[in-house]
Amino acid sequence: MDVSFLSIGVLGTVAIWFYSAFLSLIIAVSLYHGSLSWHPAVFYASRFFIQLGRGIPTSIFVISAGIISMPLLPASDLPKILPGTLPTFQMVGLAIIVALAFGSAGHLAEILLAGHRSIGRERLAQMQLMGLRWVDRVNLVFRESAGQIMPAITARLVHHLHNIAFAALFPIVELFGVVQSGINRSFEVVLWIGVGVGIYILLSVTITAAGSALQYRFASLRRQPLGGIVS
Amino acid sequence: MLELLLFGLPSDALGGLALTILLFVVSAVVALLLGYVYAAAIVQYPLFGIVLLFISSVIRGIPLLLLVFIASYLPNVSTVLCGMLGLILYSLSHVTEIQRGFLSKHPESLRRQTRAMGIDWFQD
Repeated sequence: MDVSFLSIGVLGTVAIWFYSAFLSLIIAVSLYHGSLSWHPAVFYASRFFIQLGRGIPTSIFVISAGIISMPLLPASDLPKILPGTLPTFQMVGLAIIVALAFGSAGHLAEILLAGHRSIGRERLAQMQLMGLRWVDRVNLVFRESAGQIMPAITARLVHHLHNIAFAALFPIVELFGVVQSGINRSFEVVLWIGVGVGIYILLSVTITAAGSALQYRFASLRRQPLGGIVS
Repeated sequence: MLELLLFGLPSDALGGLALTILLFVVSAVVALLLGYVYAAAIVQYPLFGIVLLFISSVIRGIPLLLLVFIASYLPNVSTVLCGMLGLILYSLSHVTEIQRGFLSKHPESLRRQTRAMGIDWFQD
């Protein structure tokens, strides 16, 4: 088994997951905030994008992003952020990262909204009356509802990791594509599938463990007085 | 053209929409039924449940695409059946945890009470 070939695939998957999950969380917080807006245009636009992201399969987003970005090749000035992927396909990789992020953002925004609702109208009104800034309010809402929303966010981020396999439809180096290529090159089906499954499980367990640790951390912070949470 | 793509030709392979609906319905129904049996087994036999929990946790960690890919290597199995098997396994691994949570919140004694009150299985 070609270990260096496999390790580049794992690095590629981790890199795509990290960038797309980070972007997805940023979009999700924006959509969450937009869904709470009193401005009809902002509210309906946010709801529309949440429903769009949740209603369309991620595979369709990835295929569309890949096909749309293909004619934009080559983008030699772009930073090479995806290990193993050819410089000429970095733009396709970036488009797929955005597509993956958008595919998960709607689900994450709904989880954040569920956490927001779990706090209750009276306590939310208290936060507004205290004159907290928007950032502090989001921070406080997140910490107050961490116990309820962290397991769901973690499960979604594991699902997000699994969605990265769709990037193998294009010449983007990631784990699923590497397993497929490894089998085609060596015909060692059981070995490559076994290693692929093992690595996916390991990555999933790592995300779940990190989620549980964050949940514990936020739950312990929740017990601190308000001055300790809000600057 | 669009009708053929969506529904397919009579006596030929199913179109995309018809196949999607078929895969969804079959995998959802089978996963829900098997999930109930699995959850009941875990609640009833906790020691045996540890093994089942481990298996479902392992399957939950594998991407759906990889499960379908593994199923495609099974000998003498059609492509549609491979997809169906992958979907059933994936759905089962997620549904079982929800059903297990439901059953553990509603223990046997509570279910007996509801039967005694004249509430049938479906209403329960």
